Amino acid sequence: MENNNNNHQQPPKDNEQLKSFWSKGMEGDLNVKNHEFPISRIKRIMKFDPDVSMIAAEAPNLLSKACEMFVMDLTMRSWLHAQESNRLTIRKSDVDAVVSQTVIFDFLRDDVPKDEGEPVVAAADPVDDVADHVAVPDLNNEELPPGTVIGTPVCYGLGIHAPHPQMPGAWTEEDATGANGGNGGN
Amino acid sequence: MTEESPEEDHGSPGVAETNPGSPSSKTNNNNNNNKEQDRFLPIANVGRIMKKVLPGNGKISKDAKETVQECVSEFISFVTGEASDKCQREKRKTINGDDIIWAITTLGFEDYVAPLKVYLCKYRDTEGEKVNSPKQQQQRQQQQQIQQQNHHNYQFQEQDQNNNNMSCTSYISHHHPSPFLPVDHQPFPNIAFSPKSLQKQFPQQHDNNIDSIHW
Repeated sequence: MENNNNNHQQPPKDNEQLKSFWSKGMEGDLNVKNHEFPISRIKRIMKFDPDVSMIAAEAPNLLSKACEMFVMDLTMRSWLHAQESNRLTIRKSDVDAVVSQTVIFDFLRDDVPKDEGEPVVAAADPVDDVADHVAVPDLNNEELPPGTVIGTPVCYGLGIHAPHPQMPGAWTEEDATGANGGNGGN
Repeated sequence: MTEESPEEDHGSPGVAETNPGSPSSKTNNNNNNNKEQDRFLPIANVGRIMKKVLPGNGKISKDAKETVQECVSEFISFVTGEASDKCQREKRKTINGDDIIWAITTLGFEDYVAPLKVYLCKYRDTEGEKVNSPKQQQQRQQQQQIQQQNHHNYQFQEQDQNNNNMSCTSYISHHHPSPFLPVDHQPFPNIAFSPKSLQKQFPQQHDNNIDSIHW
């Protein structure tokens, strides 16, 4: 019950803070010469894709700015998640929760369960893992309406709980199929 | 093609994750560090940007920074793969800024698009300023051409001087006899001049000789 109340209060805060964030972002971070990330490193990561042959100079510069926005976006949502627990420190579990709750971060879910797996091997607290899994379905219910712009979200680590009967637990191949479907739609 | 890209993207993180998970010797640790440094953006930069959106009392655990660090690399590969697919469909070889913005729009990050378009315009304006430097080089070339013309004029003057020398030489050769001999042998029998006037002309010829030598 309390969780539901918290979830109900979360969307307004998200929208308000994120809107103010983007307005500030447009003002302060548009300096062309101010690069937070090394362009050479971004270019190297881009070239890991064997299909990528040539890259215009403006592309890694632009992607550097996009990465700043991505980091700030992910951090702000993680901070909101931490504040729900009255904490002032963002933890890995906050980032993982945001990844599993937010539709635009679908592409990151291949790694999150594995990251969670390693701590378990290192004697992490099973109770915390169970709590995270229990909490996620409700948050998904809250997040789904605004996130329906994208295709169907798929949760690897949540297959056991089956939060949405219409969407069965997904495997890597099914995810690839979904990705292909998305590309087809584009 | 579309199927291969996701698989490869999936494979890379697996490799990156496996190495840190199994630390053994120092050499392997160094190799793992090198691979991580190549595969991820610097964690210091990631942490700095994360702090921008937090209040003064907000803190970030190291695990959270590392997770975001990995997520950013995935984001770069995700956007790059989408942009690359678009270029291949359109049979273009170079990924440009518009392809990046298109990919980000397609992948659902609409909030990023407006600031990125403003940024791309500013970047291209800055790049346009660089194009002016070739124009300056052209101006320099024009100046060099002007200098060459001046040099040509100088050569023309030299030619004039040479012509003067030639005329002096022909003048001397025209008077085959020695300038001193006419005093005794009356070199100009057809011309009626007094001996005094002839003597006056001799020094002039002598001066001309000196001038020609000087030239």
